[in-house]
This record gives sequence, structure tokens and C-alpha cells, in this order.
Amino acid sequence: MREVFFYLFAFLSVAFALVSVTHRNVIKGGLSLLASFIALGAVYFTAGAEFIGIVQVIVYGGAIVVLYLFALMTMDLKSFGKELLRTVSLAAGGAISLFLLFSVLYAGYRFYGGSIPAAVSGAKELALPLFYRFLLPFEVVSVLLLVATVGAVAVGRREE
Amino acid sequence: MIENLLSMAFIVGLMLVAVPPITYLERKVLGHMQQRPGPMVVGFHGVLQPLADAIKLIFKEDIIPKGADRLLFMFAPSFSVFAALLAASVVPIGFIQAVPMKSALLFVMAMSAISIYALILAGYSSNDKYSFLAGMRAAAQVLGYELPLGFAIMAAVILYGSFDFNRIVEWQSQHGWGILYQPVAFLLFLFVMAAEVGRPPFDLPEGESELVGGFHTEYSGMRFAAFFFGEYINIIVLSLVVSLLFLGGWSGPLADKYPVLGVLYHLGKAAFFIFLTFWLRATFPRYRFDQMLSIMWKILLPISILNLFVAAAEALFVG
Repeated sequence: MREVFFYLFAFLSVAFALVSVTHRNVIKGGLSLLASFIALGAVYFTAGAEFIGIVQVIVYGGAIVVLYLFALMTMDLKSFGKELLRTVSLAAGGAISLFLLFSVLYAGYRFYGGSIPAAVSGAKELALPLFYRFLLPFEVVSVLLLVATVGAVAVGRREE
Repeated sequence: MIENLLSMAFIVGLMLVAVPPITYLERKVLGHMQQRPGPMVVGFHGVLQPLADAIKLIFKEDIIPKGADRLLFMFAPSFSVFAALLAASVVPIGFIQAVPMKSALLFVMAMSAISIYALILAGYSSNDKYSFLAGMRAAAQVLGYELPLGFAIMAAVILYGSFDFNRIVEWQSQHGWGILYQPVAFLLFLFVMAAEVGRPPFDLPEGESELVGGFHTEYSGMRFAAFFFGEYINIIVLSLVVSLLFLGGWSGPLADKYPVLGVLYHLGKAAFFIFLTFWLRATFPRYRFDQMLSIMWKILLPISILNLFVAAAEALFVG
């Protein structure tokens, strides 16, 4: 039963992700991105990672996609001309996608055949490695995000 | 299994059945607070008014405006009810809980976070500039209140050490109600709750005086009613949650012996918060948009972050 839902939501997640990059209407693209994230949250549920599944929905559904939609709705979308596909950008994007595809496949291959425990994660199971074992990398990443935020403010601010 | 199904039927039934009387009570309470009688015509003191409204709404012509995005336009109201009912499914009322879940509190937050998409979708798909503005307001509003709400809840969670409502109520029956420890988080939650369900003084996406009807300008009949079902179910759910988090939920005298009494206590506490939303509506004018954003970002957010330190200290001492 669990496998059925796992594959159902995994399929939905991938299908909506495809729609979100191919749809011509950007608002609908954003919505399918939301649907993809929520389906991904459901995939976490089927794998027994209830906490991560909910956090996925809160963070991506409750904050990030709203931000995307808000930004898209404030922009004048008709003023954008048709972007032509350029060979250089196509090649660069393709190379990065191929690399990502291979790393995902490799990771999937390494974990292949592992069984899913009934419940893998609550808040504690996530927090312990994050705040004890991997504290330093975690803090470094948060500083990086802070730098990005400050940078965005600095770039976006008008000179007075 | 049968118990779960019964609880599920009970909770869904309660949520759907409770909405019409609540709309009646709201109009009555608002009326008396403004020194007028409220609905009086249909039945004794207007008690059959919700029934009359329902008949009217069901038989009204269902209009989909030209140029609207048909699919999203039809999807938005049902999504509003759907998300609200999902949130209700994990909230225990006394001993009745449809879906037992360890992270139930977070699940409620997630569902009420995505319920705002109903407003954004309705605003976008209506092909109407007032609705569109309302959709954008809803998006900005959710970004504003989500953080203070999250931090207020985190303060409570740090204190209780669990996301599970049963554990939270257990903690409070041992140590006393949460409001004694976390009055700031309680007030923050109440304040932000009004923004979350889109009620005055934070009903900016509706904004009758400037946006006609806001996101539901173009809706009619049962689709229009569905938004209100979603809104009122959200009010009920958050009132239940606030009484679980800060007022001890179903605990009270003799509640251990007679679980039914616990259900009544819990519903009674929640009823007070539902009344509070009517009261707020009768008392306060709507905030302006920039005022709402600066309240959320400049005042409530810093307070809620500072409050986390208080909660951490309390958790150390009370444990």
C-alpha cells in the first residue's frame, strides 16, 4: 500500500515539475511548482519522514512559492520578448543538468535495495546530526545565506 | 480503524454543520455590538436566516466571467474548503482525533499556510483587476504573518518539547496552562490568527471599501459560499488550536473521569476565541496595507524572536 502511494506521488511530483518548466503561462508554471513540492512532501510521508514532509510543505508551499507568485504578479510579463535559445546557454544548462542527473542516479544506485524503516524522522532525528555532528558546515551554510541576503539588499537598494 | 473513521466523520460533520450557526451568531453579535438587532425576519429572532441564505446561495446562478481561467476559477473555492478540512483532521477535540499524528501542530500550520493559495488563485483567475490586487495582497500578507506566527508557535513548542497535541495538553495538566508561561506568544498568536484567517482588522484581501469584494468579487452561488466555509472552518480550527496550546485544551475539573466533559471544555474554550473574532470585527477598522506590513515585519517579528529566548529560559527552569 505504501509503495503504491510512494510511486503515485513521486510520479505526480515529476509530472508537475515538468509542467512547471514547460508551461507558457508563468503563473501556472509557479502553481505546478507548488503542486510538485506538495507531492514531494507526500513522498516524504510515504517514506515515514513525516516531519520533513510537513516542513517541505511549510517552507516551499507556505513561503517560497508565494514569494515567486508575488514577484511574478508584480512584473509586467507582456513586456518580456521571446527569448531565443542560444547555443552557449543551452550547452551550459545541458551540461549542468547531465551532471545533476548522474549524481542523482549514482546516489539512487548506492541506496538501491535498502529497506525503509517504519518511521525515520521526527524533529529530533533531524536536529541531532544538524546541530551536533554537522554543526560547523551548518553554520557555514547559514553565513553563506546571510551573505546572499545582504548582497541582495545591497544590489536592490537605490542610491540616495 | 472504526474508531478513526467515526472520529473523522464526527470532525468533518462538526466542521461543516457548525459553519451556518456561526455565521448567524456572528451577525447577531455584530448587530448587538452596534446597537441594532441583527437578522430578525426569518424564524424566531432570525434563527432560520442561515437556512434561507443556504437556499438562496444554492439556487443562485453560477457565473464564470468571460476571460477567466475556468479551471483555476473553479478549483480555488474547493481548495479553500479542502485545505481547511485537512487542517481540522489532525486537531483533537477532547479524546476525538481523526488522524493521530506526531507532528500535528506543524501539519495544521502547513495546511493553513497553503490555504492562502485559494485567495491567490481566485484573485488571479477571475480576470478582474480588483480580484488580482486582492490576490497580491493575500500573497504579501502570508509572507508577513508566517514568520511571527511560526516563532510564536516555536516558543510554545520549546516549552512543551513536542509537536503532539496530546503531549502538549499533558504538559499543561502537570505544570499549569501555557498562557501563564507564555502570555506574549499567546497574544502574538491571537493577533496573527486574525491575519491568517483573513478577518478584520486584517481582512485586506477582502477589503470591501476599496476592492469591491476582493478575491471573491466575481464569485456567486455555492462557489462564493465555499470561500466562507473555508474561512469559518479555519477560524474553528485555529480557535481549537489556540485553546490547546495556551489554555490547557480539554483539561479541566473531572475531565479525566468523563472524557465527554473534556470535549465540552475544549469546545467551550474554542467558542470564546470564535466570539473574539466577532468582537474584533465589531471593534477595529481595517489596517492599511503598509500598516499591516510594518506591524508584521517591524514590530511582531522582533518581539516574537525575543520571546524565543524567554521560552528557552523557561524550558530550562520548568522542564
